[in-house]
Amino acid sequence: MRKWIVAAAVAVIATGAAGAGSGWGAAPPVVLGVLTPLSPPGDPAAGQLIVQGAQLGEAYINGVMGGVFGPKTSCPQPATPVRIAVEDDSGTPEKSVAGFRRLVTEEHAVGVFGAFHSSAMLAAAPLADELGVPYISTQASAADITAKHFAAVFRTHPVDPDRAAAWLGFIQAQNWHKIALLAENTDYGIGLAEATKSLIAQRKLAMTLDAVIFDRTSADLTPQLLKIKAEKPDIVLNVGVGTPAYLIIKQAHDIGLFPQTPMLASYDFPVRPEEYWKNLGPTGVWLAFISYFHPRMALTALGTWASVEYAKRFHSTAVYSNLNSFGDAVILAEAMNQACSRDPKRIIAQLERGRFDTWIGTGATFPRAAGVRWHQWSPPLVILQYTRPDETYDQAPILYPPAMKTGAFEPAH
Amino acid sequence: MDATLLTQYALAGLVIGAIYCLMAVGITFIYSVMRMINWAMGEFYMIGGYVQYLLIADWLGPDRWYLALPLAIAGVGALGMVVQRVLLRPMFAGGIERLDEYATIVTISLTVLFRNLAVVIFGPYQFSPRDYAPPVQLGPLPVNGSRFVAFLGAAALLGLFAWVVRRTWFGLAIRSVAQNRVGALCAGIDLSRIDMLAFGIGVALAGAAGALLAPVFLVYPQSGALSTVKGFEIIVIGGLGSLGGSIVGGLLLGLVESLGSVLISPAFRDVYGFGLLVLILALRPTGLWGERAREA
Amino acid sequence: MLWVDGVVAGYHEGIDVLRGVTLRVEARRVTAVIGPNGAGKSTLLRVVFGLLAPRRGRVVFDGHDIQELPPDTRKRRGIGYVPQGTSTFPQMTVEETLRVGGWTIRHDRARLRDRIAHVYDLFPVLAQLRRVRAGVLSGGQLRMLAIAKELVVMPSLPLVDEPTAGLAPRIADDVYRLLERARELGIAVMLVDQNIAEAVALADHVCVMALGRVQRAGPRESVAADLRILVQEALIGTGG
Repeated sequence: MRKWIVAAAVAVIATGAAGAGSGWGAAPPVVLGVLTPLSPPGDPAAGQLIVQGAQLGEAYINGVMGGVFGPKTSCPQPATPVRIAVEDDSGTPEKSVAGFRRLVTEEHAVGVFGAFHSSAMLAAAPLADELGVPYISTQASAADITAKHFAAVFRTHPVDPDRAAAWLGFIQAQNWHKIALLAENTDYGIGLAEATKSLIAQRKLAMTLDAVIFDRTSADLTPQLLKIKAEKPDIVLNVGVGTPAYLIIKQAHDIGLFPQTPMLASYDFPVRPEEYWKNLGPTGVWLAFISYFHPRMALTALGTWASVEYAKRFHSTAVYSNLNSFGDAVILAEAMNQACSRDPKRIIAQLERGRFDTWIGTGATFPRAAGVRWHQWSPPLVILQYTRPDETYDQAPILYPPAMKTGAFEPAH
Repeated sequence: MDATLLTQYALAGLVIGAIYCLMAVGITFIYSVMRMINWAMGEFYMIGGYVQYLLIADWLGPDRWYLALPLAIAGVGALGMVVQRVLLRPMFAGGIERLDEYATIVTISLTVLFRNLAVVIFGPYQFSPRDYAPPVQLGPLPVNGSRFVAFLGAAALLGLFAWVVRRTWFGLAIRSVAQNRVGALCAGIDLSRIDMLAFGIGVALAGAAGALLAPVFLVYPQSGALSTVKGFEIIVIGGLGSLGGSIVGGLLLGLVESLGSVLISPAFRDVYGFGLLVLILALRPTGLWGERAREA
Repeated sequence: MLWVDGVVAGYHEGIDVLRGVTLRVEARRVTAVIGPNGAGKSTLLRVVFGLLAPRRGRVVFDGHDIQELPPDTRKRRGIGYVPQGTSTFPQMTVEETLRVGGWTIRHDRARLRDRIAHVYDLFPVLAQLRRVRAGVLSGGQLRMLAIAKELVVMPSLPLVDEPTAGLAPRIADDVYRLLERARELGIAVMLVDQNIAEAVALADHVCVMALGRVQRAGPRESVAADLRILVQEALIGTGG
């Protein structure tokens, strides 16, 4: 008897709270799908951060924007809340395809974002076209994602030419000429090696590039590193993702290649301090790396809201994965507001013609441009360097671009 | 070709080859005793790495890694014995008809289970204890201290293993079971006990490789995947069921991978091993020292 | 010394190979179990040694129920088993093989040494081959080694399954001479054999099996007279 009363009371409070809190009409919530790696062989750490960002996006849309079609829009529909639905793609093509289908057919998601692994996203991209549901790459970098000109696929993450331009600009500023590049044999690694090579040719830079491709599953890269060491390059570009990125640093250190020769890593894995310093200890000092975010970068009002809210909710500093995933959720909501529609096909059309505010810039667009710039908007990149053990990335000096520069590259000493 | 560089590659190849040997010997040992292939070998390697890391990080401290090693190896061995007793023994108790399929299903399921358990317990992160020793100059090659320790450790363990198998009563029993289970049974040898111990020892070798290499190759949930592949590559090169073949195969694979990288191109490092494998399969389908035919 | 009582056993669910076997083996006697193919003779030995658990019935050895015990314990109690086919180890030398045979007494080094020396006395041929791998021995030498291996720990009841199958007649004779010496050694033997004439000639007791049951059992003299008829009946029985 007593149990019944308690249960009934809980039910009443719960429904009351939901009703009172939302004040929404009868319209069912709009579902935003998050398809991201939450188990191996994907990178579940990245997936977690992306899900957190999506949760922030949901909170922002429902709390600050008043849902989609909210009071600040001129849409005739009643304001409607959004809900995120999460699917695990394990970083694998087959699970990605299955997850995408489930999000659209069972959850009725009007848009999907959250991709981290390029091969997983590329597998589901044709499905996005077939179902006519917009699919935004939150952190998958392969050129083909946009270069194949899928009608429904968009990206808010830097592409290979952006990275190549950033590090070649930095290398030129340092007056270095001899570059060694060690890349894993994935779409990402090979694509970045190609992009770097073609940009050197295109800009007729006075540089030589020695690109070595290795199998992503190898644990021992000593032979490749010995070969690079024998050629005495000015800088080594580290194009490993996850474990290989760490192995390159460790093993280059073992054979006396790093930090004697500078090394620049192609993405922002060193921003996870618990992992980076635990794994490498003092070996990790002097590494330079590309990052998509640094607290010195000027955030938009949106970005500021997200980083403050993130600190409140998760008791740590927001990183790029959080912010970009948050941004993708908000972009989808903005597109719905601009089109006054929750129809996925009209959202796609609006993404192509609208201008959107993101966490890091205003007026982001996704035009039908040529090549890899199709449906592509690139956030800015910075190059940072760690110069002492246990440094966190927000303390690290920005070496590049010159406009944001807060320190010069320091050789090991 | 620069002779110094060539020596460097050969040395690097031998160092890594010695560690490949541990994996291969473990696989072939379990195969010869129990006539089953343990597909979860790499996961025991992974667990060895985690146990070693935890012992060093939370309990013994980085300076006493040498105390952690035997504990990690024994821990993995004990886990292996429990796995054998609970999951694999029913195989030999009768009632299961397709032994090979059963063992394959059980051990492949274990790989999935252990990997996901590692994610649940330790998270998807990569861990690495501090290096066991400062770098060592081996002739022209600066060798990472942990690698050098791993090489010596692997050599010592293989020596100990060979001694046990060749010179002790336990080794005699193991060999008899490997060569003729019924014959061993007739002599009054307790097969279920030998199977359990053999499985424990076999996976402990993988655990030892994992613990020795924890500072070299990082510890993470999928760290075992590659070592299983390499282990089987060596088995095919050396011949299934041949301990000597595993050792020669391991060193050979290390050398070929390393020298192929410098003489041809480092881009296809892992292809050289397979090239060697295909070559050997074409010339000697049973591997270098493989069993010609099974005794009836 | 051995009493098999109403044993029912089989390898597959619902198919009984032994369908209620009852028989006795007396101490210091050779008991031959004969019968056509498929009668369940080898299965009976497997049950007695513990390789196959009976579904029903008891196996009593020296006054104790042993049907629950694992083979290695039965071995320690004095039951030996020389299976059909090979029970030796191709990669091991003769000496190593005999040491495996002495597994259960390995902790008593002096005794083990004595026993192996004794076995070499019984089989001088093996003494000359002690460093030779079993894999290169001839069929007859292998069979001899298999028996010698069981004699290192002198069993009080060796179970011998088809000791001469596949051997040349002259070598088969040697094996039977060897089994005859069991009486000198004061042990009982339970012999399963297709080679009916030789087995019966050797035996003190004969037990005729067919279709998973014991058809007839008794001293050689009482069974030998109508042995031929018995076996024929049994054969027709299985044929039909």
